[in-house]
Amino acid sequence: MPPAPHPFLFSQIGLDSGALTLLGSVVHRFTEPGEYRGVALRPNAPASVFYLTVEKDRAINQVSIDLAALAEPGASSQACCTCGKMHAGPSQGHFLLGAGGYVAFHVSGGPGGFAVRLGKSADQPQPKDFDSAAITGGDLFAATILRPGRYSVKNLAQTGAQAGEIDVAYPAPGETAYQPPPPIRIDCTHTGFDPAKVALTAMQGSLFVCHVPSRLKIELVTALDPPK
Amino acid sequence: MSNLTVAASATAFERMFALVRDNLSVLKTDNGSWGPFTWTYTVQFHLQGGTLQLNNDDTVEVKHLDVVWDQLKFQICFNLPGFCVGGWCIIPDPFDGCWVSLPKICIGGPICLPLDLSGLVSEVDDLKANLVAKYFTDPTRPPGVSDLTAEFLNKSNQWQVFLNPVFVDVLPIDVPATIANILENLFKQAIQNIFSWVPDWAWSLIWAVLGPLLDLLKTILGIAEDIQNWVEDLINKIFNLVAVIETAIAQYFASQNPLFQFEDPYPILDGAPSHNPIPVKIPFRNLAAHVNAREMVVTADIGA
Repeated sequence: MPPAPHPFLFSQIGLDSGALTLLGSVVHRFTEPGEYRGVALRPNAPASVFYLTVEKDRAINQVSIDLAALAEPGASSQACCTCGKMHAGPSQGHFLLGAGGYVAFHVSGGPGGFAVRLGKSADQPQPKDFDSAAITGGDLFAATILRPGRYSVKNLAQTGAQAGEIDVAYPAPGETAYQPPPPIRIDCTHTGFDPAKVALTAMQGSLFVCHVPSRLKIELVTALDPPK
Repeated sequence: MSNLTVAASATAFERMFALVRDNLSVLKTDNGSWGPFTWTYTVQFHLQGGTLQLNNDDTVEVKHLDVVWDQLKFQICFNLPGFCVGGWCIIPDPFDGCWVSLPKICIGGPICLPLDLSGLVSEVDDLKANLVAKYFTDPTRPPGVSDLTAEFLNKSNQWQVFLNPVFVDVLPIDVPATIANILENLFKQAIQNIFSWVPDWAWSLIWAVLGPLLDLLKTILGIAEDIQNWVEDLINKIFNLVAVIETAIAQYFASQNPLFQFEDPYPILDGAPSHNPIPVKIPFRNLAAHVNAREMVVTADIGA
């Protein structure tokens, strides 16, 4: 049975890598084995804690962590470990990944607005290994834009960076069902975006590869009316 | 023992048949599932027209009897896979496939297409029957009562003559060629209803993703043939309305509605309260009804 209708799918037009919603996901590569403690945060809501175990010999190259599911009231309040370990406190989920694998943090429903941080789980406070509000080192921000129009994209973590521009067109009418073209890669650097201006068709993915600390914000500047 | 022989002309027989035919009205509902969809139907039909012929082989033949569908309503329900975003590949596998991909978000759900083909006319191509006489005893008649008491109670025994179908040849129901357009419009309306919350700007996107609606419908329902043929197969083979008609007609004529009936013993002289309050009645036995090309002949023995 397909999921229930989702009103946020068409009402959340902008995207923010530091406040993830349905159409924006952040992907981070974990190269170092260890046990990580993650926190999913959103405004005016309790944080959700989860654990990620990265093991050298695990043949798991991707895990998708649904931040909305972690925040659901019914999510387990105990350490639901598949690894058999006990944790210092309650958690809403435990995930396994092979070293060098990727974690896609995404939101499957609801209004979203999630930020996510991970650090090594230890007795003493550890530096953060990952923060979705400042992604870097080849981290990816995957954005899908539905609403056709002109958008600006800014890197809020790089004050000197030039804003980029994204033009999103309606799909051309065709004899067959529309399949979005392959995603376009955009590199985030100190100076801005490369390419600085891209043309997409609605639903086509844009993949921002962040080489410098980045918080990406995509905002609608001019909406495009539907073709008549 | 005395005998009785009564004949009715072909014209008179035709009138008797018309009276019985016009009283038939069949209402039926059913539901089920077939592959990826479920269905329900409500149908009601009556009979009209037909050319009647009496044959020398003791059969009655009715050809080209119209089946008028006062109601021919059905609904098919299925899951619309819907509109999906995401799911695209983030990091392709250098050898094959995709190393890391985005989860897919889909919106859709169950939808129903209500089709109303009421007013359609199909046909019983050939109905062949013979005549069968049956003796009817009212099951509510009190036991042991006399025929006279039974008459006063309006529960007399009856001789009944039925048209007993030997075979009923029902033609498959044809649907209009416009059925594909009708289905397409219903499908479009159902999609608009299920996505009623979608903003105006998103509609051209949704229609583009769903593609040609008839193609989508055919894919979802697994239709390999022409839509018109598929609907006809649905009605005739899945709903099995041809069998519904055959069974209903056979039962109706053979056991539910006699061509004619009369009470037994049969009153030949009514009672008169002033001088003879008891009516004069004679019993019939061994009633038989036959036809030849010109008339119907009913014979019976008179007396107990």
